[in-house]
Amino acid sequence: MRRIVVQAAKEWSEFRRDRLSLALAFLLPLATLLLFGSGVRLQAKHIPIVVRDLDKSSISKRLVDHLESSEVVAKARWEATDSSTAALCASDARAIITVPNGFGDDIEFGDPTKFSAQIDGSDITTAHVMKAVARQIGISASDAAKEGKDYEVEPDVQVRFNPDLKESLFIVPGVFGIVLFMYPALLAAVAAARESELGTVVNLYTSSLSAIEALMGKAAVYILVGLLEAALTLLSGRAIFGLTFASEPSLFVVATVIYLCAAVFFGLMVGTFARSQTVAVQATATGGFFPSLLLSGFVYPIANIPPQLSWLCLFVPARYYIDACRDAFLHGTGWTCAWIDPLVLAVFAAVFFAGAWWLMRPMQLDDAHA
Amino acid sequence: MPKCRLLNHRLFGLIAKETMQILREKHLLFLLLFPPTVQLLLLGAALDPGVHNSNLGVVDYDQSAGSRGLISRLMESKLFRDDHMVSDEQQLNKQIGRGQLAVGVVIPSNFEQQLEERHQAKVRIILDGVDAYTAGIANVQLKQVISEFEPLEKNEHKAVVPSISILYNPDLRSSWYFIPGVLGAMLTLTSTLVSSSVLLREKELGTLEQLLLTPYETWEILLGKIAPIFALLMCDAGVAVLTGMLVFGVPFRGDVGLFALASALYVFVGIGLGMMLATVCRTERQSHLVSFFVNVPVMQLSGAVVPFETMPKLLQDIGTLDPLRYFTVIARSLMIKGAGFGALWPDLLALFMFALALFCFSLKQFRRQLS
Repeated sequence: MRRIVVQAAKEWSEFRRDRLSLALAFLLPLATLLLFGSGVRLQAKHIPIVVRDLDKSSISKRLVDHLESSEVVAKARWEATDSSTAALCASDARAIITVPNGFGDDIEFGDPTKFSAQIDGSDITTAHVMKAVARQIGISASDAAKEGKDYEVEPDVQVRFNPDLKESLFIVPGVFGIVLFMYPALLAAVAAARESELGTVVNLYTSSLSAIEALMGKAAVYILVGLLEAALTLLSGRAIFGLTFASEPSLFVVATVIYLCAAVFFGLMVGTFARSQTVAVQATATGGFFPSLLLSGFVYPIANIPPQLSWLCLFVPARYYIDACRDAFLHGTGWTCAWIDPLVLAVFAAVFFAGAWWLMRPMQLDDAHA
Repeated sequence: MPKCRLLNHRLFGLIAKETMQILREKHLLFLLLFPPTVQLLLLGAALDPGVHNSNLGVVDYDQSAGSRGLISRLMESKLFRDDHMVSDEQQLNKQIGRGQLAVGVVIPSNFEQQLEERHQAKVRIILDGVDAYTAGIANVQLKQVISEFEPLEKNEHKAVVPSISILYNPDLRSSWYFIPGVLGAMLTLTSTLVSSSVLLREKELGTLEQLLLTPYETWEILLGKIAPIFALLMCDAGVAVLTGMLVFGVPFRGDVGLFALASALYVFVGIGLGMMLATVCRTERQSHLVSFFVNVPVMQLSGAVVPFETMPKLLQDIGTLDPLRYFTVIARSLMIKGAGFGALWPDLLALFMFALALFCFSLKQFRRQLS
């Protein structure tokens, strides 16, 4: 035990002396939180479009006004030319809505009529929105023409747990999952790789320290740093985005500690394997950052990932932690439902620890050799 | 003329030395080529901003032809994969609370009756706001499907029908949209990481002084270092584009030469960023941490991963200072729309300015630090 503490103290003083790294270890999670928390909005707004009203009747004008009053679209600068497709390519407009000549007359006489929407499919998010907007205009124009619908089914929408659909309440628990995996793992990986890059790892081998003690000593420091980072992100999540617990936080606390252990052990494993800092960083980014960002359901639902890849999601620790976070901050079911998450995370932590130990062990000098 | 030949000769030797140094590091070489491809495949497949494949919970108290019609209309909308019949509303709420279902519909027992007598009926939609993304999109689309719903095939033709045509990407395949942007994100990550660490390694080991004692000029030393990285990154870009085309069927409708020019400019921007990091930091560890400080915002604000239109106005404005934003625009319009120089020159110019500014800054810094 004492040897672990001494090892940890050495690691800590080394880390503390590097002021810039120390500052960044706490600045980075905060910056990431702010960036994702305020940067990710789920609905596109003010999409530039071009409206060509060839009809210029009062009905078509009403339609155009209706369109312009919505928050979703904004009118693009564009000079009227004949070839409308070229306009999509050249200007920043994402859709062209053309109201044909005779549109108003048709509606007044009750004839079926059409208007066209040409949408730039190269930007799929806005294309989806514009498709919905076009159909919505069609419906409201039909209603206006018929002066009331024949049948009306009125949806009464209730949103549970996050009634205003605030993005931050959805995104910020996810950011915890990314930040608290990425940065502790990165620090641990770089520390482990630095040791072999500078050759000081040989000192470790020749000392009487066992692989487990060396790992525990290093891990202790970065788990502690991770806990401080967790406290910092949690407090700023509360102060800036108004995130509060929906249930008692014991599950969240347990899950966080286990998750940090998993992250640090993952970093040590990668760092021991990599032997150079650059490689360690690339590997942590590829193995830690990208899966946490993409395969964890952080923004886009896991259900959207094609089946050939979705099995990969099972091996992303962030997925389970984000699940636990969303439960703690929004669902609030606590241990009854989310008990599985800390358990799975513990399995990850154990596997990563075993991996780091296994990689470090062969380099240890046997007593027979000594 | 002989002077010029001598210059070429000298530079060649330096470049050969740097190339050998990079090629000898098997790990680095592997990481330069392998992760970008994996990242591209992952991002191309995983980023899909739609709502489909989630499950719809249905409580049907009415059990009439009308209610079944509404349910089948909802399922036809392709928003959902399966409909789960749930016995009562309490059960539905419980399942939503557990996160098993994201969307639920409750049809009251007098649904059809109301619809026949008063031509008006209500249904209740319950959304799990925890998954605000799915909830937001499902909200809009469900409302639309329900308001379009008319029972018993009556009044089938609508008075006004929009004819919607989607250009360039008619199936709205998300990989087509994301791959050009991800290509840029991947180039940023790799180029800053590799260029900063190659420079800092030399600085940390003290061998940079040795290089300075040789008759080489500062810019020659830097150029020698950059040339092999540049060549490798251009290969990276080529591999990535081919992967995108082969695996995801992304079209390449624009001019290859123009694309190569844009990639070259952008690789220079990335290397310039890395060099700038190298002048700011003293050790590799610092530069790696700082590179995350720079790269995460660069990726986030560029619209490469998160669509640009969905960002708040303030961040969009900050995003105009993001070089990746311009590359993303160029790559997307070039590959998907087949846009030419006429439409893209402002973005190309912006990239050129970024590259120039970063290089001048780092060169100046290096000169100052080294002399």
